[in-house]
Amino acid sequence: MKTAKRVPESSPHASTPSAQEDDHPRIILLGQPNSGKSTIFNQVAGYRSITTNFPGATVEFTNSHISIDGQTCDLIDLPGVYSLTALDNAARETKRYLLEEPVSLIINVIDASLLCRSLELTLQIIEMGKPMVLCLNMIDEAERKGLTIDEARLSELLGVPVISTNAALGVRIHELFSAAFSALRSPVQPRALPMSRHVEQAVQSLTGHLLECPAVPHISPRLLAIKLLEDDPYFTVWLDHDQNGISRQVKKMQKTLEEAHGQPADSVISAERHALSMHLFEECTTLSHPQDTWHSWRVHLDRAVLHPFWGYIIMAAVLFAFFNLIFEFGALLEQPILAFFARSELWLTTLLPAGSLAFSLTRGVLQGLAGGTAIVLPYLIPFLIGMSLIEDIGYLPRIAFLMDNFMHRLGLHGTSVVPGILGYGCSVPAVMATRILPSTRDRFIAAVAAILVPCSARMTIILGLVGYYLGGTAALFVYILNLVVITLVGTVLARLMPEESPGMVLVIPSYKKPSVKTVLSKTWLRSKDFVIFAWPILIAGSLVLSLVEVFGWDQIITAVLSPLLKLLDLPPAVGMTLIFGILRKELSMIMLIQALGTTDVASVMSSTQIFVFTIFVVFYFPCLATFGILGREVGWPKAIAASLLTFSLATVLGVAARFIGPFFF
Amino acid sequence: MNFRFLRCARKPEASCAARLSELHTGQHGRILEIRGGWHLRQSLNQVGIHIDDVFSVERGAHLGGPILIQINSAQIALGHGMGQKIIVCLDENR
Repeated sequence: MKTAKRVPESSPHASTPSAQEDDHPRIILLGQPNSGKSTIFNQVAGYRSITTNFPGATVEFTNSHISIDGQTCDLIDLPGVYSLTALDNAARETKRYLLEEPVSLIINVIDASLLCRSLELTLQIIEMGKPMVLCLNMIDEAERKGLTIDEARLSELLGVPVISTNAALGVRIHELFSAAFSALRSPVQPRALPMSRHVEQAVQSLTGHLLECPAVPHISPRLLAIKLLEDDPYFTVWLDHDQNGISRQVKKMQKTLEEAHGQPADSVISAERHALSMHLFEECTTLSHPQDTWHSWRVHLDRAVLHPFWGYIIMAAVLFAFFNLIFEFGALLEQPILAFFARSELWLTTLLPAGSLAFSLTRGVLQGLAGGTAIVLPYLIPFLIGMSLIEDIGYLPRIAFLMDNFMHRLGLHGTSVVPGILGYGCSVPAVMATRILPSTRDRFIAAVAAILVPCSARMTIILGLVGYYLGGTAALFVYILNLVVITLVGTVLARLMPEESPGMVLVIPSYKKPSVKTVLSKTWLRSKDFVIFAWPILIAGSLVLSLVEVFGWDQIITAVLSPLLKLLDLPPAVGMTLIFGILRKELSMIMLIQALGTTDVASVMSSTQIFVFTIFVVFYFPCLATFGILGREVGWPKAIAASLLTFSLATVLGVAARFIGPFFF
Repeated sequence: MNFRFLRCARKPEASCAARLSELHTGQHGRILEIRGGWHLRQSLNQVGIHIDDVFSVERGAHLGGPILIQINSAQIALGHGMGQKIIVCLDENR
């Protein structure tokens, strides 16, 4: 397959300068969502890419330099795509990377248990004309479904090496990469399969026109011809600069196809691809009865989990148990660790004279460590383990299914619940997860909802302050209030931005047995950010606060914030903690202890004040990292609007809590 | 599985026709028509829902909720609005 070399400078599809094109070949892992690309990546590169049992979990690239048997390459894990026609931002990014960056070889990872559907993407990748290796992953799942795949036959039909793997257990991964390196040394052109005569004629005729055109983008003309016939906007943009009558040819061919098949041209081509996949599937597979125990187990579980009544009861029970366990476990550890740091502080007074600079600084470091270790980690670690389990088992998409009806009341659909659930971990990946939503308006509303969800840092404040001092019921109330506020904000935003949501199309993956190694690796990867990056900030923040106190600068900051603090009826010392909370929300909690000069918050703040402080911190300005990512994902004006909205909400709710609190605490 | 290649002779107006969202758990059918624009057609085709494909309903839509179908060996959840735009032919014999 020939590719035209001339690329107009103004073309959106011009290749980017190959600054990254070094001596190492670049291998891409490409496949449909949830086919196990990240699992393969982690098998060879160490655990660096978050894997989940949810379609569309990977929304950004992860790359690594790997070496196998003395051969090296750059391996890139791209977000999953169902087709080369991108419908959301994550898929658009993958497509841009594939078509505009230098790619040496593609490893097309497919879920073998969904062979027929997955081959539809394979056929499109083949049309790109790049060297490729086909990886039939989750082969165990296919066997359980009663599917036996003839690798050799499939390889013969497609003209590419085919390797079956079970990436979760690392089975045949080495063989897969050996095949990839071998294909790099002696590239074999994959075989583009012809469509039915009528459609093939249209494709070939348009390809011929494109080959004669001097300004064709730097991609395979056959792929371009097919995508133009399909009306893919990514490619049709190029037609805006067309001066060679290609648009006329495209329209003519589309009309011919529509008249002959009675369907739009994109449907005709899609049906052709489907028929070709079915043909390949039938040529290389044999079907037997699925393993009964597995099949019936899954069916029975789904019948209960997705039941219109019991499904919600199960969901409520799972989430209740989840948060309750975190609270119980966290509280169990928090007390002895806090006691240890309190003893250390006492011991410190015997070593250094109280009030000296050395004493203040050492106490600052100690309190920073106390906050990071005793208050955050006991809640963060169990939360991340629980979250990984829910994700890996495959319960998350089932929650999205159950919540679809409710989310519609907010003007969104079920998939939008995913950023919300991820938001309970960290707002940054939650905002990034909005990329899986197809409309800009849905992404904005889901992002606002996601930043309002209390992340694990805010969870430590809710559990460590309200839960610890006011009881579990009060902590639960904060969560319920948060859900009510999110619902109201979502509803209002949906009314202000009326637009028909495209609706939910969600592939529900099979249940999977979570692996201890993956759960722990994922927990480590997610908590590493806190331990490696946040601890130094916490300690430095604590030190700065000590210095501020020693030199009396806190008076200025407190004076600036005093109107807000008076409005919320909070002690003046609290003002500083709110400033630090903008850096990281955990800091609010740790700084509070530092600012008040005691780990026993109840001795200096009333129950209502603890409640007001928590409410304010939970809702006010998202942390800087979240703000940055929000600006990148939805644009700076919307990010600023969202931040102002959250600040106003926090103030209104804080004032309300100040007046209502005394009736309850 | 060859029956999937056969064109459905029945038109969307045929007596078997219904909206997918109207179907109940356990019912079977075949996709007759997708009443929507380019985006809807593409999002359904990409997850493996095509004209003439056969499917079974794993969980019908309740109170305007989503519907869950089994199609081409995969479980796909579709929002209620989506289900209303998909016209199917009910297979009464299964």
